[in-house]
Amino acid sequence: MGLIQNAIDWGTEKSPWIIHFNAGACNGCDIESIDALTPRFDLERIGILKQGSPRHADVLICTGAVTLQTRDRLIQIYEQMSEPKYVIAIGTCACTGGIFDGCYCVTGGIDSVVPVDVYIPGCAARPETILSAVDKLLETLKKDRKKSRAGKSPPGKRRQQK
Amino acid sequence: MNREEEIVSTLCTEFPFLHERISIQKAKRIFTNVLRKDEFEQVIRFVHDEMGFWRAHEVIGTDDGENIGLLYLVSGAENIILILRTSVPKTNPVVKSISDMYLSIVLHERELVDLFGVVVEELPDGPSYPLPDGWPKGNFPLRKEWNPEYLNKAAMTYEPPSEKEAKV
Repeated sequence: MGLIQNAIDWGTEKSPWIIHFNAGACNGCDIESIDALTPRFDLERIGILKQGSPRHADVLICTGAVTLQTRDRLIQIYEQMSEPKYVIAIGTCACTGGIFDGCYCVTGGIDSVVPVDVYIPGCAARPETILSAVDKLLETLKKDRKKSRAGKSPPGKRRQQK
Repeated sequence: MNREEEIVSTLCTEFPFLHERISIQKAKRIFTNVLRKDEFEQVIRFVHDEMGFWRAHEVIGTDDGENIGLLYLVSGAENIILILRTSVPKTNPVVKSISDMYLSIVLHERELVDLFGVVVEELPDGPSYPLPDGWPKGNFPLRKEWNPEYLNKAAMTYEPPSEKEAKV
């Protein structure tokens, strides 16, 4: 069991698979997050692959403020991902709600619905900052792995949904 | 006489009540003042049937206090946008749908229904748009007396302080 867990941790740390979810963005941050995958910036060279299904993904990349229409879908997608799972909020709207905060149809940032690990501010967030955020996320993954090895934080019970 | 002036003079000869109530704001933009509901229905049917204004851009709703203002933007092949204004009282906000002439206007009229509480007669059946499922009935978020702070987004209920105190 320890060997398999080590292999899973190693794979997550070296090659996190991502899925992108638009919770109500204007498409600006979506374009920039796709831009980070193109040859000029090339997130794939550090092992990150974009997945079509949340069941295959380790990292949920969210853009936009959460609207009442997308709130349940976001929770559903987050629950479909297997542990350990991480969330990156891209753009000012995803971090805090931005200019849409307090609107009748907006609940706020991504962290009003699911826990967020990395916040990337910016309108729209630039691909360089997305790369930097992924770098920071990989450091978090390494720390988590160490903690998990030391038995401080058993995998699967690390985070509770709000 | 340029094309905008031609349109204005045609409309004024056809509808005498439009005299001095229609103006050219700038090139390709013609505004009318607020028309009565029956006047508005006559004018929009005429510009659609006789003057080649076959495209409807949108309907804009405004909260003018006691009335709800409606701005209908229509244009034709010459890209001259004619903006027809009308208004309905909040106590009886009933307006007739123009979706028999302009098919694409249905979504915009559904927005009026959901966001302003305007009753649009002869609107084709369909799902509500754009408010989410479970939205409390009788709440129209773009009316000025509606306050988003009193909306409980988790339970989807709207409770102004006066109602809360009455319950206690």
